Amino acid sequence: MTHKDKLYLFPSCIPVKGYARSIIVDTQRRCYKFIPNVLYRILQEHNGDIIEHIMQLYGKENCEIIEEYIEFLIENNFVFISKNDITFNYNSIKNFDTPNHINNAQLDVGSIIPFNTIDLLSEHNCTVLQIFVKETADIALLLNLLGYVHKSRIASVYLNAKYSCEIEQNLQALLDQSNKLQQVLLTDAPRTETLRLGPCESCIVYLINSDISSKMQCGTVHPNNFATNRQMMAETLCHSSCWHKKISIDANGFVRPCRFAEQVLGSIGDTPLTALAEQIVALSSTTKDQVEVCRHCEFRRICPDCRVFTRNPQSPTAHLARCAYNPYIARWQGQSGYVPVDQCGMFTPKGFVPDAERIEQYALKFC
Amino acid sequence: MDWLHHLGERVMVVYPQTLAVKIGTILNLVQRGERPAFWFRKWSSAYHEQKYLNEESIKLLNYLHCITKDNCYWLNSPSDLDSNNKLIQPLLAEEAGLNIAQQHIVSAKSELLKIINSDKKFITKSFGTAIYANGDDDTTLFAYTQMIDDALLAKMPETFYPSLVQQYIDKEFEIRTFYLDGECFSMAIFSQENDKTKVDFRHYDNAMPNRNEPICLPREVEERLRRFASAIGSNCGSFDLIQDKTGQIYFVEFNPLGQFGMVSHPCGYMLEKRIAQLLKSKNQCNTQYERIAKHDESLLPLCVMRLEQVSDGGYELCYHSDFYESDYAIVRSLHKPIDLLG
Ligand code: SF4
Repeated sequence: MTHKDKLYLFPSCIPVKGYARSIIVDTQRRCYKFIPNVLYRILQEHNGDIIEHIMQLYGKENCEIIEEYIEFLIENNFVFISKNDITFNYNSIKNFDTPNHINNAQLDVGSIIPFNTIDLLSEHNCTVLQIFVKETADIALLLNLLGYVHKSRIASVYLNAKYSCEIEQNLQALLDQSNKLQQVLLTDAPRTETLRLGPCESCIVYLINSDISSKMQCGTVHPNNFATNRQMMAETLCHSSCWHKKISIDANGFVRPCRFAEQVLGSIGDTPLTALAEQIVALSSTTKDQVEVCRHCEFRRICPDCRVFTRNPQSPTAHLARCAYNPYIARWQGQSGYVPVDQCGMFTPKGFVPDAERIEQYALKFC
Repeated sequence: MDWLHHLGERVMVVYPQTLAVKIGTILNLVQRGERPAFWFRKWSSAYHEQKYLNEESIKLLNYLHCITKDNCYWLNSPSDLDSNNKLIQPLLAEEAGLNIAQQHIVSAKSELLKIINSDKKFITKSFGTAIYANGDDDTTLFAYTQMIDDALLAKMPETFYPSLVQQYIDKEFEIRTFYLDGECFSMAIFSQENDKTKVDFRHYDNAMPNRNEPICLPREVEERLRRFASAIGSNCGSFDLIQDKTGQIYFVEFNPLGQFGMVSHPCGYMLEKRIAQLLKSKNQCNTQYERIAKHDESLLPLCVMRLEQVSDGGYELCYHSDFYESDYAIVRSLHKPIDLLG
């Protein structure tokens, strides 16, 4: 490499700018690295430029820093250095679409199997089915249900139920019914354990010792839940990753955008699925670029959204109630120097307004 | 497949094992003046245990192609089955204006030494596609692209089966271009940093995966690829190209019936969707077919007497319209009933 070569950012490495710092998400290696906002700007403005030119622009005194940045980029394989002209395609990487209106369905099952609903979902190319069984599950019903789903176009099944000895003993039998069963979550179990079943260990079983329903879990923001794949990055560009192509159907056939959402969109028997899907498209058009606070956060493209547990259920762009990150000072709750977001500005009816002066003061304190 | 379903298209999938039953329906349809769109994906020419049945079925396909090609749209066709010759392709590529690597056919060490005496580096590879075969001693033979270096020369016998020796191009990166009826979708594969994958990236390297990135080829190169495809008589397939350190792009080979998943997914080209839309737009068939419930595995031509159980190893398909790559796997592992597809 010489300084006469050109610097190209790989299209699969996507920089995201936050208030205090930025990240580069490597969607192929599935990881991200922090970068300063200056480097974000360099990548944005000088992608494809000759390295020497960039150095000249930033002046002699910054040469060393720029060189360090470039070394960092090369080391992490975020950039390609070449003397040739290369036209990378930065647009196609943003495309993502699935051949359906509904990709993910949550289904509450009571004492009868909703055969019609499964047929309907299958007919519409829904790929993932999450089954929630109320109370103690009847094994015969579950076996029957899985057998039925197996014959449909649905590709994978996630089962959530309360623990019982009977279920645990019949896990293999369930899997024998359909190898589409990919995950089983049993709450209220006598112990906490993770099991793997199936010939390729393709089915994961979680036994969870408490009764934490996924209601507690949903919408919790944690780096472990960040998704750094290309699909997620593409999806979050135009949609709320929470509600996009998702549907929840309760045991009575009422449809909600999510099983924890209050609003009912219709009933599966009366409203055509395409009409329900249209409503969901409209609902899920809020991206994190519009959500208050998140819009200033460097994680907004990889952090899963939740539109149910928000600070203000009345506002479609309210901040997530369960977020413990303050993007203005780049601190997680529990880290030294953390202060809640509301101390860095004000929540107004029009959304959160950051207070630059106060933020600067906090930032100075760290230094 | 799922995309066609989503777009509301009716699809009939034909595999070697179902051709026998479905061909009648297709011929019937065509003879009635319907103009379905065909997608010829892959065809195992080793499905039937009786070799002649494989040959017969290809003849039958060729006939179908012949009588329909003027009126119906074919994306790939049975004639693509034999356009995969690495010796002839470069000639056509050169005519189309593409750069090619200098190549020789040698069968003796002495000849080889004469060629490689120059300061250029050389590689050797098979004339056709990758060869999988069983060696005499229970080993498996697989054709890789190999660098001709001193170690290889030392092992080499004095004479050998005629082999293709090609000038090694000092590559900056490799390019896969999926060609779809005039449009080019290109992906650059960056593997150079990794010595293991330097010659042929089929030596997959998991520790440090190659980067696969979408790129746009220069307009004139795309134009030449188009010219090449029409010269070889194919409208869909996958080009292997190399960009060398000076920025020149070289033609390596063209695989009609090539894979598109590996180009489509990392780059976001949505090729499954595009192919489905293309087929939908070309389909001019209004008749709904009857479902063919079950086929008789032991179907044989009238002129043949002996019946024998055929093995179940063959795949793939064709016809009014499609198949999306992973569907075969789905059909198999998830036992999606074929009737649902057809
Ligand atoms: S502010 Fe919190 S919820 Fe919003 S994107 Fe950042 S980490 Fe996620």
